[in-house]
Amino acid sequence: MNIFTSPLITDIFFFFGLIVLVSLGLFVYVLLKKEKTFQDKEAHALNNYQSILQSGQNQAENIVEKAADLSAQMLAATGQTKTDVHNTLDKAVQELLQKDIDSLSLVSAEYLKAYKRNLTVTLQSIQEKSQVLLAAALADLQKETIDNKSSLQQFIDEELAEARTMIEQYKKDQVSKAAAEVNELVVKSYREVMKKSIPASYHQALLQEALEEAKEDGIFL
Amino acid sequence: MTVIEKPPQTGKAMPQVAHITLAFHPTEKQLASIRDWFTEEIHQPVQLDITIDTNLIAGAIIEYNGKHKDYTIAKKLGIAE
Repeated sequence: MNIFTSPLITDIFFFFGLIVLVSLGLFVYVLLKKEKTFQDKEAHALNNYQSILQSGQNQAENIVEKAADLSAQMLAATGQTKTDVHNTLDKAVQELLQKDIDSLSLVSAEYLKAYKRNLTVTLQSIQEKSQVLLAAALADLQKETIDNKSSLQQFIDEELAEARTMIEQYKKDQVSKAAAEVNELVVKSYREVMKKSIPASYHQALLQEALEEAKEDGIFL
Repeated sequence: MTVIEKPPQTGKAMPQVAHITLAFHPTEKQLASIRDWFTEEIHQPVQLDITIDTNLIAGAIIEYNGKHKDYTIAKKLGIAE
């Protein structure tokens, strides 16, 4: 008799098989339950992750907005400060310029006043001396004839020497007292006074004298 | 101002030109006097070229036959320009 065909063994196998099936079913159940738990946890973790990401994004946006506001405020403050600095600087420069202008105006006015005073005195002096010289020249000319070359030459030499002495003395005085332009102006003034004061007869006499001298110098040879 | 006389139409050779710079405007009488002086002293007629420069004060600058000399008061005073 085959041992595997006995009813007892068959029952045992059946029972044992039943137990194996039940165990297998339990195992599958537990396995599915664990899988379900894992999926729930995974979904929960994903939700948390998204929530954290969203929160981070919100915080980043807030930070950027605040930074932008702060930058705008700082820019506005900087612009105002720049304007204030410009205004202060402009005011300071204007004050300095005004002081310089006032100072220069004062100095210029004083210099001009002194210059005019000096010029007036000098011109008066020269005019008076020129008139005296010319009066003397006219008086002498009336006494002497034009053809009297030696006396006319002597007279001219003396007058020229005196005039030259006056001019040299004047130049020396002016060099120590006034600027070079005053000298130039005085010489011009002297020339103007002389030009207006010399009579026609004196011009004629000097022309005649020049022709005679030119002849002696051999200009006409 | 410059005054240049016309040369005489005599058919003879052109006279020498005397360039004279004066400090005053000469009258016709004075010009004639200058011409006479040349005739008497230099023994030859001249054509006058008169220039006026009042800055010379008085006297004359004379240029003749390429020779030139300054006999002015401005030159003698050392204030010629």
